[in-house]
Amino acid sequence: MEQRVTYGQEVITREIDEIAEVVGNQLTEEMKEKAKKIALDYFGQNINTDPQTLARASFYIALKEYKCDAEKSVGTLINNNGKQNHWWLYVVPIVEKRLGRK
Amino acid sequence: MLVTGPPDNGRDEYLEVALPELQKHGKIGYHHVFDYMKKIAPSCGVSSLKRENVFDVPRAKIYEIRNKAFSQIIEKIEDSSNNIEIVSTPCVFKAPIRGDYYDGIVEGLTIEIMKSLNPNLLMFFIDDLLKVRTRVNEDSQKSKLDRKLKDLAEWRELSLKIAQDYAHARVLQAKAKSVFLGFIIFAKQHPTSTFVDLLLGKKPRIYLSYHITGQSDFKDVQRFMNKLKTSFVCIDPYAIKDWQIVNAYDKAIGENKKEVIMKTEETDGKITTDRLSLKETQEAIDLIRSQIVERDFEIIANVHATVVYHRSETPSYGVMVEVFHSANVVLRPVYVLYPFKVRLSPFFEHYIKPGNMVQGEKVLRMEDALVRKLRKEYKNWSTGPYT
Repeated sequence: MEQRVTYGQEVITREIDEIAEVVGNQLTEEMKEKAKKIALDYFGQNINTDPQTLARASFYIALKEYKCDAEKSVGTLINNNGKQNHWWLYVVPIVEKRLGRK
Repeated sequence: MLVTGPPDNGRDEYLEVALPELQKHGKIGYHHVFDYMKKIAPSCGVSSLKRENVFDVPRAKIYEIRNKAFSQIIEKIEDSSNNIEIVSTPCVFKAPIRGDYYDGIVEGLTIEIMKSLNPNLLMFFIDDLLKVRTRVNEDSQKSKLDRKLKDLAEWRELSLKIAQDYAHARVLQAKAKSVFLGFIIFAKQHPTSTFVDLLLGKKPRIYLSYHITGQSDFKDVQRFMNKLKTSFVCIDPYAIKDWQIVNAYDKAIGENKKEVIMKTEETDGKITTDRLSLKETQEAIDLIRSQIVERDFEIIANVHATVVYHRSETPSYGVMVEVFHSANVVLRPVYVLYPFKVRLSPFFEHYIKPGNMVQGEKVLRMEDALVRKLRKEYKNWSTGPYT
């Protein structure tokens, strides 16, 4: 169990760092940390969640909160470094709801 | 609401039957885009636009007529007092490759048009590939086109991509003025009552997962589906019969046959037989197989919960992966009905929340118990639409 948690946390951190690099250097460290916090908090309570999908959903939520142009980053988030994943779109509302942001 | 999909999938004939049923629930506006185009064509210099001559008209002119048709539809909808407005058109057409139509593609819809329409439900309407093939072959205009199974599968894929691109952008605009109820891939074999329930948007949507491979009798699934329907919209993955092509192809390969024979039981109980060459099926089979998986995943992402009717003691790859996708990837609640004494594999149980599995031996009672449970719990699902 502990091993799986650590692995999931690693995937989340790596995924958010990678996306941040692709999206651009206008992103602050603070925003990146916010995205990681959203993902890791949710993952802590739901360890069966796919970490890559959760990382991308959390990144999008953090982008919105920091008033970055989140819409422009949707394509990058779907196709990060050639790794396709559009399922995070469907996870955004669920994570937001859990965080009490909706 | 926008109903779209690849052409020749029986969308219009289905709507003809479903609309009177829907009209019992309120005032309905129905806008068939090509009918508007035919009326507008003379004002754009095309004296008579018909299905037969549509590809003789230059592409730019067709797009001009199409755009005017949509503008007129949007104006009408804005001035309308109907409860529901339905706009119906194919996503993309395949034209004979000649002259202006050098790439053989004509867009029935674009992202910009969909943005202007701003539908709160996008339905991607499909029929079995074999039925589409029969329709296309019977259609004199389309018979000028390449009509192999692979082309039809590619046509479906291309259409889906256009609809998906728009739908995915809309999913993230949940806070927008109008609520986006969703994007549903809808198979023609569903009863019209399911279509009506989807449109009314009052019942939560459920994806019913069950063993398909190697099974022939689905009466128990049908019975359970009927129970669910009183409170939920039940999306049935087997309403599209691509599996039959996969199974018939595998059988032909196993028996060294040059022909793939598919027998389908129609809703009226009649059996129809389709025959395809091994070569034609072989060219399409990879695409058909991948579409089965991708399509079911997309449907799961657009329902509120997944319910597994685990009608066999043996595992099913399809059911397992659907559970994994629901619970692990798109975070949908998963419920299981398992009418056997022996426990399921721990790998399967791992993904089911404690309490969400109804297990025992009295199947009818268990079905009722699960429906009661779903009715009690759906309000707490995290997947409800934003309001």
